[in-house]
Amino acid sequence: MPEPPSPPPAGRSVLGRVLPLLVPLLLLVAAVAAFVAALRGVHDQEDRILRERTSEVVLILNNALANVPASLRSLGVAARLGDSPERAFEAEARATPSATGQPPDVALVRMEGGTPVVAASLGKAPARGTRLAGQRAEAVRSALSNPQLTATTAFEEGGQRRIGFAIGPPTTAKGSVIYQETTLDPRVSQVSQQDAFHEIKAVIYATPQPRKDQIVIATTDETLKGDDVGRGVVPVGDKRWLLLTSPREPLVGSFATAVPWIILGVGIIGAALAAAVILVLLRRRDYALDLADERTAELRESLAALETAQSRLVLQERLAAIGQVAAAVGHELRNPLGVLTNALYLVRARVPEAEREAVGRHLDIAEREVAAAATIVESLLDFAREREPATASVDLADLLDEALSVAPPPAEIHVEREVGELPPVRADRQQLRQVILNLLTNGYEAMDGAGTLTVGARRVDGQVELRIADTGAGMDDETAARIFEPFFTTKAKGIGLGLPVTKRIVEMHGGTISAESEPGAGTAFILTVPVMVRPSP
Amino acid sequence: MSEVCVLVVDDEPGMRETLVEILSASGYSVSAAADGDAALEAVRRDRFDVILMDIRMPGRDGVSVLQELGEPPPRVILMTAYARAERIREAIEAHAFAVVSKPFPVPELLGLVASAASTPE
Repeated sequence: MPEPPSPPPAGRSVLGRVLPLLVPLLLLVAAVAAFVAALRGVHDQEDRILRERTSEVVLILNNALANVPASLRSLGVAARLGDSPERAFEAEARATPSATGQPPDVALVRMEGGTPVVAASLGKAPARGTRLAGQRAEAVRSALSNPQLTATTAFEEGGQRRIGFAIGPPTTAKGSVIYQETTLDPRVSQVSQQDAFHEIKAVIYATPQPRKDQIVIATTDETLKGDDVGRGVVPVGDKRWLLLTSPREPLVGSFATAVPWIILGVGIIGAALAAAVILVLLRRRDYALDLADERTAELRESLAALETAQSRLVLQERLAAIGQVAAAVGHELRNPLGVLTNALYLVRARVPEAEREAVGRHLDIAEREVAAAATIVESLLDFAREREPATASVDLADLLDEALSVAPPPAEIHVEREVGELPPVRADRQQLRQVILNLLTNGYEAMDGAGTLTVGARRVDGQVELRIADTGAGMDDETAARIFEPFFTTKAKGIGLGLPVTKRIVEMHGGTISAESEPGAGTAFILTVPVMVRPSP
Repeated sequence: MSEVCVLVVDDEPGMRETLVEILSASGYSVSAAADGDAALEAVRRDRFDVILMDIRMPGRDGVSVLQELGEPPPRVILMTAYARAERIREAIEAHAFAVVSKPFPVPELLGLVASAASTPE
C-alpha cells in the first residue's frame, strides 16, 4: 500500500509568507525612522535659526529704540537749563531733525492742577495750551513718577494711528515732561531681497500680546501664530513690545528641507526592490522544493508498487511451493488409500455370516473415513493442478440449476433463487461448475442444517455478478480477511483449500471474488465473471 | 466358456496382492507381475484376456508396456496415482481400455474388468 503523502514542511510556507513581508517592512520602518529623525533635525535647525534671527531683530530694535530716550533727554536737559524753558525746548527741538528732515512732533508738558497741559510744541504734537487726556495724560503722569522712558500703546488720533513716548524728571525740570509722538504706517512694509532679514516675516506689537490695533511695524499682513513662530520681547521704557517672526522660506535651505523626503523615497524604493528580490528567490526555492517533493512522491510510489509486486511474488511462490507439497502428498496417499479400499473389500467378503452385522458397522466407518481421506486428497490435487481455463460461452443460469441438482440443499435449508435474464459468460464450464459447487456446499455447511441460501445473479456492466448468501453464523473481520488463504479453515472437517481453489479459478477467468460477512447475520460471497463478447459479424 | 485370464502389474505389493485376491475370489485366473519387464515376459509366455496395470512403476512404466504389447492388443486397464496428463493421453492413444485413478471403489473395478473381458477382440 502506498504511504499517504507527507504534509509539506511547515517552516517552508511560513518563511515563504513572512520573509517577503518582513524584510521590506523592516526597511520601510527604518526609512520612516530616518525620515522622522531627519525631519526633526531639519525642524530643530529651522527653529534654532529662527530664534537666532529673532534675537538679532530684538537687538537691532533695542538699539534703535535706545535713541528715542537719548533725543528726548537732550530736549529735557535744554528745557531745564534754559532761561526760558519753552524757548530753549523749541530751539533744541528744531535743531534735532527727525529722519524725514522735519522737526520731530514733540511737546513740553507741565502739570497744572493735576492736569498735564502743553507748554510748548512742534510739528504734529498737541498744540500749546492743550490739556492732555487719555493715553497721553497717562504716559505723562507715568513719566513724572518714573525716571525711565515711558511709552503709550498705539491709539487713534485724527484718523491716524499714533504712539507716544514720554520722559520726566530727573531728566526734565520737576513737574515737566518731554512728550514725543509718531504716526504709525498701517501698510505692510515692503521687503526686498537686498534687505536684512528678508527671509523672515516679522510683526512688532506695542503690547506684550499680539493685538491687531497695536501693530507698530509689519512685514506681512498675516497673523503669525503656531509653534514655528519666533517670539522676542523688546523693552521700551516701562513697556514691553512683542516681536513675532516666521520664516518666509526654509531658513535651512530647500535642499535640507528635501533631505527627509529623499530618505523616505529611497527607503520605500529599497523596500520594494528587496521585496521583489526576495519574492523571486523564494519562488525559485519553492519551485526546487516542489520538484524535490514531486520526485520523492514518485520514488515513494515506485517503492510501494515494488513492494506490492514483491509481496504478490512471494505469495505466488508460497502458493507454488504449497502446490508442490500438496501434489506430492496427494499422490503419495492415493496408493495406500487404494490398498486400504481393496483390503476393506476383502475383509467384508471374508467376514463369516454370524459376525457380519457386528463387523459390518465398523467396516462402514472405515470405508467412510477412507472415502473422506480420498476427498481430501482430491482437493489437494485440485489445488496443485494449474489448468488454464478452456473458455467457451456458458449459460450461467443453466449451470446454477445443474449445480443445485448435483448438490441439493439438506432438508431444513431453503434455497431462494433470484436469477433474471443473463447474457452468456466466458468461462470453462467444468471449472465454473466446481466454483459454484464449492460455494453452495460452503453455504450449506455454514448454516449448520437450517436456514436460507439466497442465490442471485445479475448483469453489472461487462460482468455477471453472482451472489450466494447464507443466513449462517457469519465471520468476524479477522476471519473474513483470511478465508482465501490456503489451509486456513474454521471447520472441523476440511483442510482449507476450497476457497483458495475457488478464488484462483475465478481470477484465472478474469473475474473477482469477495466476501461480505457479519457475525450472526451470515456471509455472502460475491463473484463476477466476464460476459461472453460475441465477435461482430 | 473358457476361464478368463487376468494379469495384475503393480510394483506396490499391497495393491498387487489385494487385487490378485479380489479378482481370484471373483472367479478369474490371475497372475501377477511386479514391474514392466516382468509383465512383458509374462505376456510373451502366456495369453491374457485383461491386463490391470499401474502406470507409474520403476523401470518401464505402464504406458510403455502397453505400447510394446503389439497385435492383437489385449484389453489393458491402467491405474494411476499420479501420472501426468500427457502420459494419460498417450495411454489413451495406445488404445488403453480404461484409465482409473486410485483409490477406486472395488465394485466399479470389477465391473470394468468384466466388461473388458466380454469385449470381443
